[in-house]
Amino acid sequence: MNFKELAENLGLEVDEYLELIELFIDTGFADFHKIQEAMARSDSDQVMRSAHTIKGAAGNLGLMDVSETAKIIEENANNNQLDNLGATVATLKTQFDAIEAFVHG
Amino acid sequence: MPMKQAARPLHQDQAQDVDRLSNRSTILDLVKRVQQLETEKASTEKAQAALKESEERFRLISETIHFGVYEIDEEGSCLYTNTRYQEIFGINLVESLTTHWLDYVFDADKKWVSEQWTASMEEMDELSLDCRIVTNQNRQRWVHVHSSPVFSDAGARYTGTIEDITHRKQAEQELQLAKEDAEMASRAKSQFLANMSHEIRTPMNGVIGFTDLLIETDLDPTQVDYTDTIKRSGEALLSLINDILDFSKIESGELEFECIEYDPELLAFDVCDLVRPRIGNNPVELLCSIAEDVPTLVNGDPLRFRQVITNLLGNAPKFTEKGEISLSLDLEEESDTRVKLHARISDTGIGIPKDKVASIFEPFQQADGSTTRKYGGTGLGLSICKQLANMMGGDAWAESEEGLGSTFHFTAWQEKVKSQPPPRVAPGILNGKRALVVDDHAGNRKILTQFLKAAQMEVVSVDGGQEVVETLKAAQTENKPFDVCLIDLNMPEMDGYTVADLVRQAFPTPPLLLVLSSALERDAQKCEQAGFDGFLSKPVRRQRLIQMIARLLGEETADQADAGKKRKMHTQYSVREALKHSVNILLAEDNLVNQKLAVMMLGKAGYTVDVADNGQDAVAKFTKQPENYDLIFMDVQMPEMDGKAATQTLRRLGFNDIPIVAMTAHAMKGDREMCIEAGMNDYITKPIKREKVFEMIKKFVFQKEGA
Repeated sequence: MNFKELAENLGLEVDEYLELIELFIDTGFADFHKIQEAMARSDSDQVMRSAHTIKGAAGNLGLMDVSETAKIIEENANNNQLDNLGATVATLKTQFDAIEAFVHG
Repeated sequence: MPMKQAARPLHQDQAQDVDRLSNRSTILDLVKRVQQLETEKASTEKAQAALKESEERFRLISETIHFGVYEIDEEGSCLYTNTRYQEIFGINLVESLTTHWLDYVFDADKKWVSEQWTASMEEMDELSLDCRIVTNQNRQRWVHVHSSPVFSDAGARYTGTIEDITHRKQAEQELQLAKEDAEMASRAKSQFLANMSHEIRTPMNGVIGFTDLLIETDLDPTQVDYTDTIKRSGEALLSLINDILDFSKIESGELEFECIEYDPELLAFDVCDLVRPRIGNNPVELLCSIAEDVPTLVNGDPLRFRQVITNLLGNAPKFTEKGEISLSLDLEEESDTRVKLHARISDTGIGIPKDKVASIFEPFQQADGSTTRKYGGTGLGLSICKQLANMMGGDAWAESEEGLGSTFHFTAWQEKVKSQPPPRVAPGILNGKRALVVDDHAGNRKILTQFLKAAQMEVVSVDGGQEVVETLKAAQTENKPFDVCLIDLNMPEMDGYTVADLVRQAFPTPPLLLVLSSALERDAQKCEQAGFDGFLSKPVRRQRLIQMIARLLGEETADQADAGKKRKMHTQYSVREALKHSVNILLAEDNLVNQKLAVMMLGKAGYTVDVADNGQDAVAKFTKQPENYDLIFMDVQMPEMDGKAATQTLRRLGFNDIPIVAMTAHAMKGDREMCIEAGMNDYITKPIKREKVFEMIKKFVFQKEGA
């Protein structure tokens, strides 16, 4: 992940961008837990909303892979198809962990 | 010499004369010679004594001096050394005369020292160097060698001194090491501060962000109160951390400057708006004046420029309980590509003691230790200001008289903007209207006349109050009444108040009266009582004057339907709000990350952003202060009330002028149509691109204002 480039794309300093990423990780994990909980009770509305939030934030920060994964979850949830999402949600978690590991070294 | 003269052979023809005179002259000569010899002997003895004394003095000096002294001949043989010389090298007199000081130079230094010595011998030049030597006792010392060539009949020699500087060198080395250590520690500290600030900022963003969300939930009044306190405290802490971060960034040289176009006048007024609430209920007038020659646009870092002015102006209310606080902006210097702006922030506050005026710009310094307790602050603000100013090629300093007030100065070089925006066209409402200008100063009359004529008005000017009522009456008789009358406040024979009184006695309502005062706004209230409709401070900016008249005339038209309504006098501040202000954006977006990103991105460009967490919040925030916003960015998909519904609500409430730009997910087809149908003006797709955002602001804010 080239934070410098991602930051520049947004016209921000690297440390400002890092601040956003940190906020993204914090809120993202919260949303991720919401997805897990909502999956457990088959609340596709909530899954869709939380995935949408992650998608939007990730997209704006230029984290396109996360955004794409969240988008798949959002679209499936929109069509009430939660059954096959397990693997995708796991991917999302892996991607989050990777970002966190990258940021926090 | 007399002896030689006597022995000189005489010519033949002279011989007889000599003979004749010889007896007498010989005796005389002898007496003279004896006298001469005695004188010579005395002087020789005197010279010898002097020489002895001189030698003694030299010996004394040479033997007691702290320097080693030597003399070396052309062949390099040592002719003389003093005791100190021998002491330095740990040798005796004989050893010193049979060796050369070069022999004792430390091996590692020998090569370059010899080279310099040889070179100075060849060029008959002075030699001056520091080197290490090893004494006869095998101890290493540092010495300073100084040698100069001496020329005499006996040939060239070199005399010189050798000084033992071991202690000095050791101290120097220790000092150097200590300095390096200190610098390293300082860098480490700055780095630590920068990291720490960053580490603190991150969770603080979480605290503030989630507190915002918390406030939106169902809370009882006590909980709302507590949550507000958390938020306020969080924000205070964050601003403190930002100070520290800025400071450490400057210290570690990491601060970068943007180069963005901005309007310095706008910026100055914005800062005034920001600072005005801090004055509270104190009887303090806040004034802002921008010199006519300050460019409309410059290129620079508006955020940093604003930061300095905000800091300097923001301090003033803390220390000023009554009187005035003024911000003025002038063009101090101009080159082909740059302008040097000079901001002065004056107050009539407690002032600063003379001996503290300079030191308050040093970090962690305030005029008084008690200042921190009474007035708060980190003691970093002014230091940051000065350093930012320096980095912008300018400076920040203060002048003050205790008890009378202070003036803070801030200068900065900013780049010129290649193409200044074209002047705005005067509103059509002025077209053909008649204005009477009353001013004793011919230059002012000329400028005002020129401004008004350029706005298609008909202008008559008079140089004093005496003719005003007559002129107005005559115009009415001719059925060409004046619509507006511009009156200078300070005129020698009859001042503006008197003129206004007379006019109001003769004409209850129109014409409108506009007062121009160089005394700035402190007279505003008195002017209102005197019957003036508008107030402008001198020097009057063209745009402001035109806007003020347009506004007055416009309101007058509107008021005719609502006769008898008491109008409040306009000042330049109230006019400014309609004319020019910074771009204020309302962002309706539920995502914390996106909110923060937008605030950062837009804030950098000098825009202010208010965030609404959902559609309902957006409607509430907007309707509370509709005049406050220039543009709404509206996320389409939000909880509570989505962007579409929020837009429909706003439009239904009659807010048709505010541009609303939708932010919509790319994937959703038909979004665009849906947005336009809901009453939005345009849309941008997510993820948000910086360029697109700025394009929208340009399209809906600047072009609209420019038209």
